Amino acid sequence: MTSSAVTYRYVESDLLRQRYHYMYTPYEGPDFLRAYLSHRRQLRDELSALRRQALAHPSKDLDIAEEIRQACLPDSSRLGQKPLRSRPLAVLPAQPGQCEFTTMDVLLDLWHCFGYDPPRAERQGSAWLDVLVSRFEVTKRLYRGYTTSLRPVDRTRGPAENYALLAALLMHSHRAGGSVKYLNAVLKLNDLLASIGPSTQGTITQLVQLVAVEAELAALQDRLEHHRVEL
Amino acid sequence: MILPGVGLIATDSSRTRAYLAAMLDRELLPACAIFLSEGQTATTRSFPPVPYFDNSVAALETIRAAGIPCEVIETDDVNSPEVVDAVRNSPVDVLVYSGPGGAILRQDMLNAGKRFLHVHPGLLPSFRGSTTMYYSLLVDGSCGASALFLDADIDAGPVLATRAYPPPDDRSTIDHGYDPYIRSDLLVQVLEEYRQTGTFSALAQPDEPGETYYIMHPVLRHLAILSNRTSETVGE
Repeated sequence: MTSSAVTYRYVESDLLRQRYHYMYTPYEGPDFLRAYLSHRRQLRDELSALRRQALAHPSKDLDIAEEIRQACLPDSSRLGQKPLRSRPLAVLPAQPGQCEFTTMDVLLDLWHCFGYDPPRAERQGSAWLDVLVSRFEVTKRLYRGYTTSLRPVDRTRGPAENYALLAALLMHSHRAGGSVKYLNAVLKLNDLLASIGPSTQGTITQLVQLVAVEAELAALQDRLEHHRVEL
Repeated sequence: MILPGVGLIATDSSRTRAYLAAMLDRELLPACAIFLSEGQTATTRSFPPVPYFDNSVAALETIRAAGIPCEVIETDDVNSPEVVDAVRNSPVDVLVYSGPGGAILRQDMLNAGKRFLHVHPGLLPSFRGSTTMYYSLLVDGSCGASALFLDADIDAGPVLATRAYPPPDDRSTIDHGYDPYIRSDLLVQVLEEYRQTGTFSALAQPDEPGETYYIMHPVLRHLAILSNRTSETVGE
């Protein structure tokens, strides 16, 4: 916690229940950035504790989450089966708009490509990420699926895993030279997940969000240094 | 001087107050105005003082004091049928656009037979979308504005002028100060050219990839405000 009166207010209500569009947010000075860093470090520690618990109970979800961690971070300490590697692509090589798709399928396809098919990730990754970012930014939701005109198939909310899978994907791409637009979306995705509460989420959401939060924090630290902002 | 053929569609905002201040200062007044009152609070809205222009007077008050014929519509929806009708019936060809922030003109409005002159706070086509002044500060330490005619795609219409500006000394006043100020500066530059030539000269945007940005998260916005880098140092 910080000693300042400034708090990180953007996670205080459930953002899945109540959309937040970040219009005209106030300027609160350097204390705001301190409050943000404090919040995210606390969230990272909470998620790390949940990961330690999950590692004691092998499951397919744990394998998927650790496979993603392996693709992003050098410190993956446990790698069992690799469900993503053996999973056949469900939507790709289709381009956005060529077919109706289920959001989760595209996200898992993209993870497969980023992990095991870099040429395809290079060719198709950014087009799909741009579409998913656009869908999320406009509605602050990721729906279960989208039509060829990129409208929601129906108003069924997709699972929380989708937000975590997209956040980690965007950070993976951001590190590889992706735009600040992706980091902007990750901050909002992680706000949304944090506002729901990590302890109520499934293993994939918890562990993949940990990957995204760690990468987000590292990216912000880099930017603070780059912009010579001392806190 | 009244600019024949040019009107104003506006709500009360820092941008509208900056536009009116600049147009009055340069004697480039619109021939008419359509004012969206957004309910009772519009006439009492106040903004913190800024060093760039006088923002203390409500926009409608300024419009009336300047003698600009004005139709007031009680709505905050720029695409409402009443506003579309007012636009269609207005005696001008071009409307300077200063409507509600974040609103996108729908097809009914774009088909009303007028062109909408908008000043976007970013250099096109590189910085399209929302809060682009903050994005350009983060990406290359610069600021800029582009005057364009609106079309169906966001910030993709034909461009009348672009101009780079130095970053402000106090970045915490961007939203209500520097952003509206540089937009008003470019607006009167475009209107001055129209006064001299009698035409608006616009060019289609180059067919090069631009980035469309979404409203900036407060963490990145704080970073842009607190950054000690400028365009001269950003490449170091």
